[in-house]
Amino acid sequence: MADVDDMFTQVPPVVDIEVIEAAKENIQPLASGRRVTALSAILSTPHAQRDEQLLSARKRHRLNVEIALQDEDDDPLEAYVRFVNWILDNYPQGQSAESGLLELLEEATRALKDNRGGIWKGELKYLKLWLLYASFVEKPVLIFKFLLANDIGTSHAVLYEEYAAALERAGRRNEADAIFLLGIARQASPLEHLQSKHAEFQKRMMSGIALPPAQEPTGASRRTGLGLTTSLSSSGSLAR
Amino acid sequence: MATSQAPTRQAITLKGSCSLVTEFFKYAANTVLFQRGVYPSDDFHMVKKYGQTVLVTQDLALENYLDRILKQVNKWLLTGAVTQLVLVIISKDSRVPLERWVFDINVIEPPSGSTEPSPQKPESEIQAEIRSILKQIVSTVTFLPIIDDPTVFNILAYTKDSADVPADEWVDTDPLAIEASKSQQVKLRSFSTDVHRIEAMVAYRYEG
Amino acid sequence: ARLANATGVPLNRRVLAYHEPPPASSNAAFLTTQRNLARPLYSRADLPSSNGTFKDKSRKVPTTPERVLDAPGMVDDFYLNLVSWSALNTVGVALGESTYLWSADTGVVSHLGDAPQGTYVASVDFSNDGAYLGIGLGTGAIELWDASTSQRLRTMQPSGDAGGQCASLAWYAYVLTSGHSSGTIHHHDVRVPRHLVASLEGHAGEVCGLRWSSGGDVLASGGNDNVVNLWDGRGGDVGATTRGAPKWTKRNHTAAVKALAFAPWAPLLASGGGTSDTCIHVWNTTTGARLHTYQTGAQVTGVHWARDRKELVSTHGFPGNALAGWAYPPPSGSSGSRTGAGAAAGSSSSAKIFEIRDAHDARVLFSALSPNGEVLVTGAGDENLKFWRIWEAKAAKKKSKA
Repeated sequence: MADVDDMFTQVPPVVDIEVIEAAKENIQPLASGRRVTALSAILSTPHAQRDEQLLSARKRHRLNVEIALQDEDDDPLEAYVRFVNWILDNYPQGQSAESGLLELLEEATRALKDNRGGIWKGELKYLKLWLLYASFVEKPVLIFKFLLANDIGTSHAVLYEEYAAALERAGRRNEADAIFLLGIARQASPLEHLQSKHAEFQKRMMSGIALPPAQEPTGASRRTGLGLTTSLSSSGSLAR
Repeated sequence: MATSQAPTRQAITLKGSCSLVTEFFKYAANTVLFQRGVYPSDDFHMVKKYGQTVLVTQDLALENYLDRILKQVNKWLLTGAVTQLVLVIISKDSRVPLERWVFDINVIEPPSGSTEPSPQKPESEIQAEIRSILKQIVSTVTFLPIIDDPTVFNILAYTKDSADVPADEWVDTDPLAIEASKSQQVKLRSFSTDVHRIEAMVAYRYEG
Repeated sequence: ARLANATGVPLNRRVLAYHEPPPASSNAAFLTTQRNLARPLYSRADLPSSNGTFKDKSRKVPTTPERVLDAPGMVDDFYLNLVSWSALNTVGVALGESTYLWSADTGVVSHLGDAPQGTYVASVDFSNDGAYLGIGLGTGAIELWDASTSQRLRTMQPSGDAGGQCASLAWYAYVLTSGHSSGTIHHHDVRVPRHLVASLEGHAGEVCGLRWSSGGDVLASGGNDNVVNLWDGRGGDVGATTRGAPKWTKRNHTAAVKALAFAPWAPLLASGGGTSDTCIHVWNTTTGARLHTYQTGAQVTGVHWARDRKELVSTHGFPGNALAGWAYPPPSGSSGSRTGAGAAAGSSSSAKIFEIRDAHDARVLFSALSPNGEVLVTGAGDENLKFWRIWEAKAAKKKSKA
């Protein structure tokens, strides 16, 4: 009977959608979905107490990361992943000055790269930090290129799938195809998933279904100068 | 069964409630299949229902399929044999259940000893309750994972042992449960007629 | 039995499935494409980085703000309305529990006042003449401030239990209308002690958008229940009776409605929907007919009509954190028909005059137009307040040419 009880205690409580619905516009949809238990907990904390609670939890996570980085027996990757997940759970409105997600991802991806002889490079969890980071930057393709060049996460199919998807959306189909083929040649796992993604991609290419260019790509390259001016004027974000 | 000695008016009420509930399942199932991308959005068209627009499949095969299922559900509702309907979304390749949209069916016991028939619940009120549920199904996009791989669905009917089951059409099956440790559950609103109370819930697989 | 328990199947029940599987999805390749199309909603990675895409060479919209002000502690909450721009050219901004005034003429900042201990400012709105500022609080109370002397004149408590956070306010003459998290709307006559003159029940969720038409004949309200209501204002004389029913109710949006604007030059109302909707509908306020629809592809947080040309500007949250300009009416073929709800976003692009992506580093949540209709101020969770010169007044344009 004991293990039956265990099964029950593992089931998270049922969350009432009312608390989520009341704040639905403050929740950014995530590809991975959300842990509703955490979501409803943060949403039902009154404004006034929320800041204080978040601040003390943030300090705790920061400290755990510092300790893990120093202690040889500890696992800084795990500490960073927990910190990142905590931010995702507790700042449902997404990237904001408050959440510090982008800065943390920037820090974690770099800090772990050569730490302890680069033992994290092959880890899926480490790769996922990079992929999340790539989802926030203007040119994710550069990040993927960097990952391949530095042999980060190169045994995982998801790297090639995401890289190819970014290229496809940029209209660079031949390059996307090449990335699929590279991943398949390297037997990235799960290989079957990668192969079926590749097959879908080829079907799209064959049937000539063009992903609508979200905007004229030419405009993007011509206007990078303007883009820079804008980011300079919003000075607050250049704190780094 | 309450139906056997029920006066005519209550029989009419029961029949009306059953068709209301059946109709709700049709629109709820369509909303889920559209919102969760089980079928391409081009297969759906807008219809006016419950004072708002609802998306309904225009794929004839799917429409007929749902109709055949709902016809039987309606029969079971009339005899009080069905207690729960579940729409399960399953990964097509791995067959892993990803989401379970659960609709509990409760029969409201008429207050005992009352001779006067209780006043009927206005249809507009029932419609507003149904509208809230359909609205909440749309809102679930804020926390459900995007489904990236092709999916299929399955509709399960939980019935009483005594239920009359057309054996060649309905078969006993696995409940297609989501692994408990990876399940997140959210309760949606409920709606009620004079006879039934339907409670909605979604459980989904979340791996973080 | 153990399995039955664990999976929640009661013992005297059967679990049945229909004997044949559902029909296969008709067009797998297309579906896959659509999934890819859907993804940008979840990730900014695929959005082009370009700022300001112009279709028309004659229209120059600066893609950089002409001024950026620091707004520390600006609450990152969609439902609140924390920026207002008065007829006297003063911008009112709420940051947490404090409210500040910034004079656009002199650049002088003043601290108007603070909310009572334990609560925060959820909405601000200037009276039509710019003399008074209404402040809605987290408790549901509404404060009336004299903008010139920074004096709090009175506090109006919502009566009874029908209240909750007051995240939206709108003025017409001496009537201050408040929208609450309960879904209730109250009309307050700020001149008299018994301020509550009417209550409107038409929303089943928080009222986050509220606008009076310029003549005070109608009031538009939008809520977290995805509903747009238009209420008869009877020329602004709301004291007569409590009216329970709106003039018309629209349920076309599939997400919360915060963005509302009446066109200054025609009986038109624009309404914009949130994350799972992203549409701007334009309504004929007289007939209630839906005239046009813009698919914006992003959470709509605000909408404003140009004063002297047929254009709209909208502000957005995820994805894109953008400002976008739209031609009205949209060129034929680009609007209206929303057949499958998946109708591609591309179809609306020809209606778009300009777009400034990543206008802020977070969702653009609050916005207001300057009294001369030329400059839009925007506030966001990146704790910046930015001023964008969106529309050059026609008169000024002629002068500069001469």
